[in-house]
Amino acid sequence: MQQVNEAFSPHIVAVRSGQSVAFPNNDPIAHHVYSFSRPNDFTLPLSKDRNPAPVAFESEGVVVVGCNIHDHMLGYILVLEAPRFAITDDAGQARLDVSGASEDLVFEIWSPRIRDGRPVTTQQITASDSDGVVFKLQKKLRPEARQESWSDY
Amino acid sequence: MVRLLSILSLVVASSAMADRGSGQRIQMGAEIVVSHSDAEVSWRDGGLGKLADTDNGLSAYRFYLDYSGRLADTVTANLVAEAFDDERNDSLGLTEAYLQWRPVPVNALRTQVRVGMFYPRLSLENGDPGWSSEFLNSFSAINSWVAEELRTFGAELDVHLRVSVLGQPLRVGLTGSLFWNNDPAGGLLAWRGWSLHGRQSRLGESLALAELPTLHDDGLFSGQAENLKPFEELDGEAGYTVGVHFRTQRGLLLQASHYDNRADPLLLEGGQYGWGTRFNQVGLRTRLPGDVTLISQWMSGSTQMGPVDHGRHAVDLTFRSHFVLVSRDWGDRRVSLRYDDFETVNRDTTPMDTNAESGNAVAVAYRHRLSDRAEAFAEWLSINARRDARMYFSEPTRARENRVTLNLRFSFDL
Repeated sequence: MQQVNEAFSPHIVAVRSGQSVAFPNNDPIAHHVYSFSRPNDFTLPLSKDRNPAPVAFESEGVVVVGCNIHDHMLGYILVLEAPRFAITDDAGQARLDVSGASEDLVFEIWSPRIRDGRPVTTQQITASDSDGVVFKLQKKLRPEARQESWSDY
Repeated sequence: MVRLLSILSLVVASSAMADRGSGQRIQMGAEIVVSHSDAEVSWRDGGLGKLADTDNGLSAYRFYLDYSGRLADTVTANLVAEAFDDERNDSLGLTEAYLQWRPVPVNALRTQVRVGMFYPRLSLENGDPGWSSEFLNSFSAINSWVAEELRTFGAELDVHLRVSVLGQPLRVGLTGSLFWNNDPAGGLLAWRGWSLHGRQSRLGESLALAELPTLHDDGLFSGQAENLKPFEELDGEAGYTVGVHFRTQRGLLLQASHYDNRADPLLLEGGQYGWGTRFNQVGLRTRLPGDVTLISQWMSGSTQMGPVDHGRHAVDLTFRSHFVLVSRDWGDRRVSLRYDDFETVNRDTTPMDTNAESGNAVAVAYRHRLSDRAEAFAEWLSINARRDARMYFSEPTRARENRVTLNLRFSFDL
């Protein structure tokens, strides 16, 4: 999850429990990356090092990532124990390889913009029946956050 | 202008050593201007004209330096300096100098502390380096006065909480400060009234006063020095501000605050009177459809100075102003329009010292980014005001003053 133009890129990262995430700073200015999402909370040292040591996330859950210098910067790390996961593209689509999976599958989606009660899941679906799964949300998405420095005021 | 350029080259040379990754940031700019005005004698030249600059032709306008250096992971030292290059006062001086501490949040509560000399949280239009306006060359009447007479010399605590209301993420905050060295603030609003410009008072600044009858050697306020020094401490008592602010993730910002310098209105020290000044202000900043930014601020308050007679201080007035600013940008180009309305109302009956005025101002500006380091501003500012004290100078009390400026601003981010 790099920092570029005072934003986290990508905005959402998904990892399996125990995996690590790197936070390279590709801006000419300093960032001070932290999260208070327990028990995955962390604070990176702010140093001249543009590539601080990656952070390992052990516990399942959403880690909201911020910058202590720029309050408008917001990123999300999803720490998962699910066997398979993927991040959707701009069109809201993702491809998951479910070959070799057990018979019954349950899909779950997550986004900071979804307002439907969590978790949003499907019924059980058999792997052989995997033409595609479509989620229809009941509520309108939350508006995208504006990444404006004026919001730091 | 030679002096400005030499300061600029000195800073460029010294900052070349700054390490971009070390948390040091230097932003600076230099501006030249071509201007024309039909104005009265400016208040800065001892008149009662509303414009701050009435020079015509080409001149160096200003130079600013905005420095932020990181002392620790959560502590920065900040210095902002400004130089004008006109015949009145061309030295380089500090407009802000403070330490800021932002501990890493451990929950949804964010805390920030500032200690030193800095602007109170008030202006919603001065978001660029060097407290420059993002929109126009001149500031609104409210923020011109903030630039002239207000500065927090003390400490400020700001806390805000991230909350979710009806599924909408919000930040709700409280700000409070204790300050000293602002006891003469309000004197300029009384004896000169409102003004619109881009001049910021620097540490130790002296502001010109018109030769009003009561300021003459035989006048009631002959103790006043030739200039007003806004950043003096006269009574040793702290003033305070308290405020609330609220913003949505979509960029709506609402704020309200109260200021009271708690100055003793009976004091006269070293040629400076204590002006007991308090005001309330509210502000709104938001984005409208079509990439239009809307800013509106409103301020209302009062100031008192001098001995009490018939239940009133010798100078006792209320002041009020509001403005609406709309701005739209098309990439490198931005068009901004601002309307200001202002008044001061006399509540005392001291003879030969009327401080009543009312007026409005319209400003239109076009800003064009020429490159990463250069931009041009064109602005027309028109102030139409009645100021009763102009009769002491045998001038018509109502005047319309216009100023057209073309600025070229060079800025560097080192």
